[in-house]
Amino acid sequence: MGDRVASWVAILMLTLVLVASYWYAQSLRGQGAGDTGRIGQIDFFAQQIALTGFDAQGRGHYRLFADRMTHFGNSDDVDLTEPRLLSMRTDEPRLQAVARKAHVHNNGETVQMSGDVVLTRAGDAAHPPLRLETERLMAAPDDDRFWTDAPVQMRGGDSRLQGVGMDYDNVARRMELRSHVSGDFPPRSRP
Amino acid sequence: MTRAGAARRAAPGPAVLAAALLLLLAAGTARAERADRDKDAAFSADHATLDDLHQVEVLTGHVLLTKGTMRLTGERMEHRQDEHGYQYYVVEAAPGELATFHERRDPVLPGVESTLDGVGERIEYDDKSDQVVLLRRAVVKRYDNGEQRDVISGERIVYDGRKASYEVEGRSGDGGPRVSGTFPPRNGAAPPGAAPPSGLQPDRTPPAARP
Repeated sequence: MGDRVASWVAILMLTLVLVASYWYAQSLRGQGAGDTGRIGQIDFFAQQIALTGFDAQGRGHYRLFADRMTHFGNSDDVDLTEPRLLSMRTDEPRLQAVARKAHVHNNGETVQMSGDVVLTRAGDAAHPPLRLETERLMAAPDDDRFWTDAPVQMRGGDSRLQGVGMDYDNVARRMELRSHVSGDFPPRSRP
Repeated sequence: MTRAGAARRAAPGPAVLAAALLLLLAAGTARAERADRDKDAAFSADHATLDDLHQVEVLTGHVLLTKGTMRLTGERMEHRQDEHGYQYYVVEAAPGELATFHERRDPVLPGVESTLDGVGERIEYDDKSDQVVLLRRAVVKRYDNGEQRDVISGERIVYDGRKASYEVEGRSGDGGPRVSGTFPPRNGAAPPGAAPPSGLQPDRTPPAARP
């Protein structure tokens, strides 16, 4: 009789250990399952970073600054807080994009910026400065292209435009607003 | 010698531009509303392309532009601004349709509000010269307090907002459209619509029956 009770107690304890192990494994998987499953595990982070991208000739093409960078080992993706992307092309006016956050895919092939995104292109003698605001912006720094499907507000000189969805090619210097376009052109300034 | 025959001999190939008229409206008529020039031009469209290099904006799809009392509509509008800040707009209609132009003019006679309505397959507006050019199937109508007064039609109508004058060109021969117009007397005392038209009359002759 005593042996039988001891056996049941042992079986019960083993079952409890099994259930507890399973629950612990599940709870661990739930924490941060999104990032570890999607873009790999964090292998390092850094603060106040500055990255420089180079073109095929070894010239600096763009610089990327951020308050904090988190690097994911498996995918080589990067998360950035307070990022600032700066074009370094000498044959084009200076282009800059700032945001609250950014996610860099494929070793800088695309940068997904989000939160208070502001894209500015400096003016010159013939062209007024350009400023664009949106909540989400994708950038392909190597191609100097930017796009979004979100609403955008744009200011070019004194003209104002807004629309939903935008594509900007900084090489061709051509912007498309995809839909719901409106805005105004100011009258000629009085001398 | 028929008129069409004379036109063909004068201009070989397709007979284009046989009639040209300069119609200066009588003194005392209104100019395009000057305040419009100092207003912002507000616009809406389905889609826009901005050529940052050449500083040209192209709006497409249900384009509407308003600048004070001036209104332009069409399917495609090109806008550019010269180095002095003057604005140029070119509006084109969708195939088979017409672009439209509307403007209120500065009042001359107390209590008389004069407006212009124009259509054409293409409308060009030049802020610097204050000229509106309406092209192909162009018609311009003037209204006083909503009563239709002048009607001008042709292949090219140039409305000069400063001089309040129309320049109209049409086609002759080959059955093409011709210049036509209606001008009631410009006597301010005459009740609108009551006076018989004078000056140019609409050409109601079917193209096939023209000499």
